[in-house]
Amino acid sequence: MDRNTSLADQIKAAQYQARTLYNDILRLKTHTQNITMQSAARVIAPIPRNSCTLKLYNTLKGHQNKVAKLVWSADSSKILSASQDGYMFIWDPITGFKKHVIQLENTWVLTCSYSADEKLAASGGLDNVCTIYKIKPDTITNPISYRGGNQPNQGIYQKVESVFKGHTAYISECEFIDNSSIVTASGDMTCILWDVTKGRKVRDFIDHVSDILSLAIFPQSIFNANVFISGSADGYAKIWDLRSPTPSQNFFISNSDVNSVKAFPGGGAFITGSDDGLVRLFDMRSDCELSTYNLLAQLQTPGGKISQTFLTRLDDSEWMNSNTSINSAIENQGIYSLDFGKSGRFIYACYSEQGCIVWDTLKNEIVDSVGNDHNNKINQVSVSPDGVALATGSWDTTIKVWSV
Amino acid sequence: MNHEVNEQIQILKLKRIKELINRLEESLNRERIPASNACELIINYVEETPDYLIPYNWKLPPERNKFAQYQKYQMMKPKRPSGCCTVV
Repeated sequence: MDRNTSLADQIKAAQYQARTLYNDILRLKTHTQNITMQSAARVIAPIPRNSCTLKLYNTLKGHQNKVAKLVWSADSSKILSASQDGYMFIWDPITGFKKHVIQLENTWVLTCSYSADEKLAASGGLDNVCTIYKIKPDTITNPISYRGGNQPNQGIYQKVESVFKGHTAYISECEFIDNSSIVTASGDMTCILWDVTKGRKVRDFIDHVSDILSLAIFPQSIFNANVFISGSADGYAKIWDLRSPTPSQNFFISNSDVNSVKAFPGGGAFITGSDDGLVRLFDMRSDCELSTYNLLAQLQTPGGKISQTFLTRLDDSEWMNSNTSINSAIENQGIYSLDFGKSGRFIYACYSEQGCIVWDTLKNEIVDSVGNDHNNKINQVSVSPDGVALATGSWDTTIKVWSV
Repeated sequence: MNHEVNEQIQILKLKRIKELINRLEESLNRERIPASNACELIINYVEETPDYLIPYNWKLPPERNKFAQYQKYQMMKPKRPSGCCTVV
């Protein structure tokens, strides 16, 4: 009995210590968080609204179902896309031709990734495994002929390189780190690093307490080598080092799903998109939030005039008119997908109801919207690595390529 | 039996809290720069990186725009006579 009381005392003391430490951290954080991005950028010249409207160059047609995920190749010359019609396509965004078709082992795909040397493509989805496909190089140069509908029988060459089994729930995201390693995020609350060459698991990353929904790898630089972010339904985003099984930093985002995360191209910071409809900018060096991008607040600014025109523009898109008025649409405004432009000045954010909105990262203003030509919701946005093109993927089964 | 289980749970609980304390201490000792410095670093990166999707600030030289080049090339190509197709 004595031992028990001493244990209880110890627990009480430890709890007290933890609480004190927690409060110290909060105090420290309010001290470091001395400014918002918007006020820091007061001297920066604003970019006028609608001054950066992009031109549509290509509509990539071929998928028979919603575009689940699209990614650019490292040299920006190709786009890999995955759809639950059971295929991954590799496209030439300039000509609009398909370069390659990959017939998926499992139709229920949620995500895909393309290795930098363009030899491997990965897919992951509801089958709980990450499948790596080897792309035969000599078919890459010859555009294939394939008309949707029937089973394609020409131009397909693929070989399953590896099937990574280990997750106990769906794979929500996967991304190549380099040509021989890939990270997966899963509904089983873990991330896993895999070695493609050796064909096995390297490390588990365990700390989230709910489904992991998003993943982003930091651009390789001396400050951010081997670092990635995960976003989860537990409302947290966590920063991981590939060499450590526990997170190096935790960020509380909101009491809702963190659907999307993206690294700032210069490193050191990242953005999150969550089911509460907000985009947030966090900095890892100061360990705090720098900015919140609130669509609803922007549209309701007393300045009124611009937001009114903006609303009309949104209302013009066909699918918006279908059954919901703009006001009811705004109440539910989760974020599907996010990306930064090359410099990080613009954030491209796909909202569940408002299309793809372009934010000025520094000034916290809406600059434009992209992709209103789509006939259905836009659920994917991705800027090419060279920064001169942007691709949007939609529920209307097409991908559109935009540039200046 | 119950007593032992209870004690095990207590020990586990204590262990968890100690782990939390370690992490909190780590977090407390992390070096943090003020947000104003972080903003400055971000602004500097944005200002010095060319971003051609912002034509207001950065003009992409036309010869470097592969998309426009291809479109131009397509327009220059002689058009095939647009006859009707015959269904046999």
